Amino acid sequence: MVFDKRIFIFLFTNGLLIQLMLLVNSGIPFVGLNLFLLGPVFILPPLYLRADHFFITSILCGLWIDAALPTPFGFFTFINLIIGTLILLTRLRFRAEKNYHPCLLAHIANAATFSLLTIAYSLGSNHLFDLILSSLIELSLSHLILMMIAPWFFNLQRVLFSIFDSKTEPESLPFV
Amino acid sequence: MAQFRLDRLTPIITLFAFLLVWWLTPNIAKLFLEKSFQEFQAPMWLATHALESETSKAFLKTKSKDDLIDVITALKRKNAFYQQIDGLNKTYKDEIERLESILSLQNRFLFKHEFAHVIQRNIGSWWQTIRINKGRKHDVQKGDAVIFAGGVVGRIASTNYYTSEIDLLTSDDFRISATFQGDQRPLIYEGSGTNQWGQISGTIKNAPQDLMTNSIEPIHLVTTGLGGKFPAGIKIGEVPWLEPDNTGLFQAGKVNIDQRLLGIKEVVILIPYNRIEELNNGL
Repeated sequence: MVFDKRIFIFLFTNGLLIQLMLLVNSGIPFVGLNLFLLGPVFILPPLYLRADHFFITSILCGLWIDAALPTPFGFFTFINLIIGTLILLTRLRFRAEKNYHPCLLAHIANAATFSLLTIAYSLGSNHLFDLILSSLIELSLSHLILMMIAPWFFNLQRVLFSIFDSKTEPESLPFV
Repeated sequence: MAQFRLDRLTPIITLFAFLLVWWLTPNIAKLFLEKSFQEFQAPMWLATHALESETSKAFLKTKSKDDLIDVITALKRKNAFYQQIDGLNKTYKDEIERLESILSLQNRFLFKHEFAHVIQRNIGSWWQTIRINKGRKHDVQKGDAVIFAGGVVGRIASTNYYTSEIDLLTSDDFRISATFQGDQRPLIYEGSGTNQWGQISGTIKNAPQDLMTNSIEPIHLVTTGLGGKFPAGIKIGEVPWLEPDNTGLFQAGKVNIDQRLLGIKEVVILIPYNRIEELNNGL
């Protein structure tokens, strides 16, 4: 097969997480807060896939998020690629087959993306104080929920690797 | 000394190559890509909405027949009441049209009312938008006014074939000419997002100095009709207090928005009749 089967698994699971996040946010509008749980989306593709396959997955996934959220088109594609490339370059240091490192990375990626979004929106905002306060509350809530979501999400991706008879180990290291 | 491996730089080179390609890509191509992805996602939102409707139907089926009979009886009463009001409204409308034709006045019914369901809500600290199940297929265009039972909802920000995105009136990007009920002088309304407690609000600028308000009987802020997108007299919110602005010439204040906007399920899009006529003439 020209393409790694895991690309499709990553695209499917990432799409599922995005859709679930948007559904939950759409279902709790009365609180006026958005949960931001996109951190796990950035993590396993650079840890498991070859560089060219990782880029295909990240670009498609980033474009999907950009189309689903009211951000400037291309914002999440760039973030996804930059975070992914950083992880790809240092992936020797992480153990992809256990949840500890991916979960930690997911929290860092989530907080970094969240901060970038807050900075981007605070530049044009007339109500900076309110924006920062509500963003801090959203960030805390999102990371509390991410503590439960991230392990489930990574386990789901690994289970799907086994179900669809694809490689359950990361691509041969150290070469990417 | 270990030799430096150039192939380790491949991911960085690829990343920069992509950034360069993206930067050189014309905007029209990016717009096409964005619209393609959005059109691809639209059926998923419509399916989710259909699933939600089915779930609520299934929930209703769990109710006893007696409960349903009580609801139907109450609805019948309301229906009879609204039918009477509808009849009266038709009489008034005919009378207004007759008088307008005698006086050769311009017709005041300038908009077609297109009902739509809300299929997605993105209401948080960064953005305040909702997605509805009507799009270009239903003559909806960017900039069209959207209202609901509580007043103004917002403006159409972008359209797809079957869906549209609405910028809510609490969004930072939303500005509209407004006036106080019973007063003709225009002022500027701006959305101000959500506060730390998740409550939505807006602000006003350029309010005349002679206006006074209080939190017990706040004055109502309505649309002026300037700009042609929103008809005059649609409620925006209530202003419980006013204070001198930084110029000292005018007053500024906070606008309390109807909190039902957060959980809104149905909206009405105001589509100008003259645009529909233009479209029909074009065809």
